[in-house]
Amino acid sequence: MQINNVTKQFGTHEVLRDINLNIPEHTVFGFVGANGSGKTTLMKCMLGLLPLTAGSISIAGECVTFGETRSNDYVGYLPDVPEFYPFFHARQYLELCAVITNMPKSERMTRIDELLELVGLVDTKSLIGTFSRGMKQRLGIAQALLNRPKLLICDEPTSALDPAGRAQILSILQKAKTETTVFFSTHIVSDAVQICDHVAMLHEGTIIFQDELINLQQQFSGQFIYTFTIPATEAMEQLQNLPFTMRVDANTLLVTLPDDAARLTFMKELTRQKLIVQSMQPQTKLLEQLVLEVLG
Amino acid sequence: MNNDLDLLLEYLPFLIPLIILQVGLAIFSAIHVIRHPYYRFGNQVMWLLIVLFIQFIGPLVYFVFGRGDRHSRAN
Amino acid sequence: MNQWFGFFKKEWFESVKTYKLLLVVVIFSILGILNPFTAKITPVLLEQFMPAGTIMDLPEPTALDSWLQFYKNVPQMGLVVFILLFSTMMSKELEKGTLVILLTKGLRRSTVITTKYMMAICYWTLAILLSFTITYAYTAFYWDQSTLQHLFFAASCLYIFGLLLIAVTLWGNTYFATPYGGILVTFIGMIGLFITAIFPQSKSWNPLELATAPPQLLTGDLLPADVFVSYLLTLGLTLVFVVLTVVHFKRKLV
Repeated sequence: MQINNVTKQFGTHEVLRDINLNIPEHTVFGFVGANGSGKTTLMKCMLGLLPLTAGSISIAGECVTFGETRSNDYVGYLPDVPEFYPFFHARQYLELCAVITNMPKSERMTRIDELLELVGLVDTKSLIGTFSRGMKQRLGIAQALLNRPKLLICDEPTSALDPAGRAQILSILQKAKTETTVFFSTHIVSDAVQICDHVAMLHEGTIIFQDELINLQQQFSGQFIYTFTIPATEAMEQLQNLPFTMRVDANTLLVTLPDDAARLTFMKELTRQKLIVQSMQPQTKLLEQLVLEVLG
Repeated sequence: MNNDLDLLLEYLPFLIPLIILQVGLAIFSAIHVIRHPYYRFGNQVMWLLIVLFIQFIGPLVYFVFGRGDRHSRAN
Repeated sequence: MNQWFGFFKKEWFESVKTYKLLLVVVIFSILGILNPFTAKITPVLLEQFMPAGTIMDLPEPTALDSWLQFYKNVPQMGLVVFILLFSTMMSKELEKGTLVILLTKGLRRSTVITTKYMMAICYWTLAILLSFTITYAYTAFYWDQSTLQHLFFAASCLYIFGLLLIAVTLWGNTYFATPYGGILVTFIGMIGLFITAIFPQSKSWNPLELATAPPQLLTGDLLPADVFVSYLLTLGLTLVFVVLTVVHFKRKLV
């Protein structure tokens, strides 16, 4: 899946400017950006639902064209607000989708059962018209995965859901990774951190960074978050004489320990001062900070 | 008076199916209005009046333009 | 082809679930009964409402009166009802966005238009057949209709005219993507046809002839050959509008 120098204008307003993206196979690719940054527009371009102003997109070797595009055979799409026919049952809707994708009759039943199982709608007997947002979102994933796409495009799959619904969707996406490449957009950074391998960020129509999540997290500044059995302010007073930058944030102590030697020294000092550590973790909120920096 | 009755009898082959169809449609629509209290616009009383008193155009307008589903109300 | 029938099945299911079948059957049955009923009862009612003593020389109603009612009620009431019923075929899908997923699944855009039009044709056929058969049965029972000419050809004129109006509605509904778009376009189109009909020269080709000529066809004042051009033109225009709709929808943002 490749996006080359894509530009999209609505009238004179440039929504996407010179976008380049390369999505490797069998990864979960998080596409982060604020509301209105152009995420949905790019996705619609990838599906041939919007014509490009310049550049090209190719999926699995097929060039995406506006209108009807062959590349859609390899794609499953979950829109931000999926709309279904309210008079169908989930199974009937999936059967319609199966007919449309020309799935052989023999395969249909088993595949639909499999997907209803995956998204947890097997026992749902009601009409789609009565579905909650979360159920619609899950049915949306089922239809998107129906024809075993090489690329699954999800537009803000979690943003309108409650925490339980979000967790469900994220775990379904993670499971889907074994079959397909997942490309999903979100403005909730923590969702991206939870399941992504790769992250790209779109801001004002351009990609401002794009990397593997691990790389991004490794670049982190070496901050650790400590909590102690005593209040953090007291602990900081006791550790005054150490040459590390420290600050207190919500009863946790943030210490910058750039290398292993520094970490050892800090631990020794803790033992010497008889400070009992309740918890300790590396500062991993980096992506969120990065995003905030950009947006701020 | 006898004359009127004869007249009525003469037109029964028209009146019976007409009344069955019109009243049937009106009642069916009224039941639908009551059992699905979701409308794209207007309220229950309004739709009941329309469906019951405007012959066949009333039910038509209700089913095509007035009937809403639960979903569209939630949004 | 699989895809076409799959989507056609969905259209059928939807039309039943949204009570279109029920409404078409009931309304066009009512219309079918009303025609002979009105023809038969009008002189009686007139007599009753006339001041006592007035001597009326009302002719007995005939089979022609019954069919005159048919060609008054079905184009006026029936066609309006029908257009209203099918005026949201496309806009409902476009407004809600229910087509987006299916289109990205590879549903051909031409399939969407042709299945919808085909479904409307099926319903129109059902509607005309119903009211025609009912009116025919009553008329045959009460009167002698052997004097009437071209009974079936006259009905086919109205049928063809309906096909054109449905195609125009579908185009307007797709182009403007609002429920009222189709109705408005059809309404304006009708006004256009009526204005054209003011000029007597247009009589030989105006599609509107198909809706107004049937009574004269029945009496034999007009022959099928007289509306031949209108007939062909209407069929041609219908095809043009369906093709226009497909072409437009192919490039439409959904």
